[in-house]
Amino acid sequence: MDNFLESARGMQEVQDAERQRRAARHPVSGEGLGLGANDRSLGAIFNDKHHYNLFVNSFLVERDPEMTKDIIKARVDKTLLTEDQNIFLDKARVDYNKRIFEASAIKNMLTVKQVKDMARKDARVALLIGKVGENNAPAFLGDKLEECAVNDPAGFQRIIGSFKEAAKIQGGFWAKTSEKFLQHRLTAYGITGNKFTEAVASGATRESRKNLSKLVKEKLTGFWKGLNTATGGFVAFVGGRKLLQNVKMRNLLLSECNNHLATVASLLDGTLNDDVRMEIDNQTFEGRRETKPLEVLTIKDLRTLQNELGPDKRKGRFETALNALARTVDRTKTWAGLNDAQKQSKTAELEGLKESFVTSELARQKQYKGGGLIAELVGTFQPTREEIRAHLDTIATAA
Amino acid sequence: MSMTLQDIRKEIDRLIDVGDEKALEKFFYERFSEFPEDIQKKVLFTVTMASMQKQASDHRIQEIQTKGLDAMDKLSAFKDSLLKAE
Repeated sequence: MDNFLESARGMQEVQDAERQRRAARHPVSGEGLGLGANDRSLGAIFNDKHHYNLFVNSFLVERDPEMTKDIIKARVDKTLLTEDQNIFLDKARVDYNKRIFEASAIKNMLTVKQVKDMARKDARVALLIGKVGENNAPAFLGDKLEECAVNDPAGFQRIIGSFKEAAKIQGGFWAKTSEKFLQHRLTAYGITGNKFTEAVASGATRESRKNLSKLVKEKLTGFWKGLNTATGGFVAFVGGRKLLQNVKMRNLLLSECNNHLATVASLLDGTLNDDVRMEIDNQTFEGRRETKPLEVLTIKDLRTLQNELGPDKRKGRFETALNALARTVDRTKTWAGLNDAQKQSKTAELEGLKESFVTSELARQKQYKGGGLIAELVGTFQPTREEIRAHLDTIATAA
Repeated sequence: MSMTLQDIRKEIDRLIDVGDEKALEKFFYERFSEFPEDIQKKVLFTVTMASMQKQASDHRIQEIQTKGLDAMDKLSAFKDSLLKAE
């Protein structure tokens, strides 16, 4: 019976693996390629320093920090993993392999020709590529793709979206509309400013952003309805029909037509405003930007965020957590007030606290994402997991 | 001469404290060659991907504009035919 079950399970695993290989599609072209060399076993991942670091310290921690902590401990103690831990690991492995597969598929698209094209379209990119050399640039960029795919899934989805869009452009898909032309056409239709302008008039505050987001969502729904009406048969079907001889019906259609025209024109007018464009982009592009507790909109926000994530504030937050841990030993004491034996009794908890604290600090760093190019650049210089961990060790020892 | 990560962070903090956004932006491009290689990779990746996303986004907006204008033309022509039928 046991053999039968084992064999059935083995068969299931083979079928699952086959399904995964078949399911792996190129993120841009959609072509079914299979995972190929990216179909890594857990052993292969754990024995490769680069993949171990990405898989354990980023991918697993992001999914379930507690479970990851227990798995790491079990591996250090050389104890067997529980069934739940094995299932968690295997599911994560499959998803991780797919993510790495997608990153390498994008990496393969980064050729010298592609890099030259990117440089041609943006002076800042051209400047940096000029400094590293066109031939080195694809490898430089490719090296960071896997990290991005694992650490910033939403950002990675936006990169995939960009490559899909670029593929369309290269296929000559676009009929370019200049802003001047659009403005001229809107004026001809009698459109001169709309609610979008009011929504962003008070400056870039959280409230105005929220209002704008709501308004764009509303207008986009109306816009697509207007497009469907214009192209999806309503106009063609009704045009020339006897229905038009009915005055009531004609007035109804006129009113609906005017409504659609106003909605479409209003959204088009909105596309001339940078804030509205960003919000439309956010709502129509893959990998939506997350809402953050603190949005970095100005250099002042950046200063606040740098200060919030700096060593002094981090120390304060960690000391608070340490003192809470100390109170589980003696309700009247802080961590610094505990004696060595009392501290020793909390070694395992302290270890867990440090790990989860590092994870939450790294999550805080994500606030730089989506705050504009300068904020993202500043974000690239934030302390690494190891640096934060070393800082916490110093604080805990000194206290 | 290359900058250490500590030097770079110190300079970034200084420029943020001063509140000079332009100087901060200039710093990333002008001192780029002095950054350690891994940092260069990160900066190049961030700038290039942001630029690509911006271009993709612009094209998507253009698609909306093109489709929108086309729809307006059709709706407007339809409206004219309704008015003529009166």
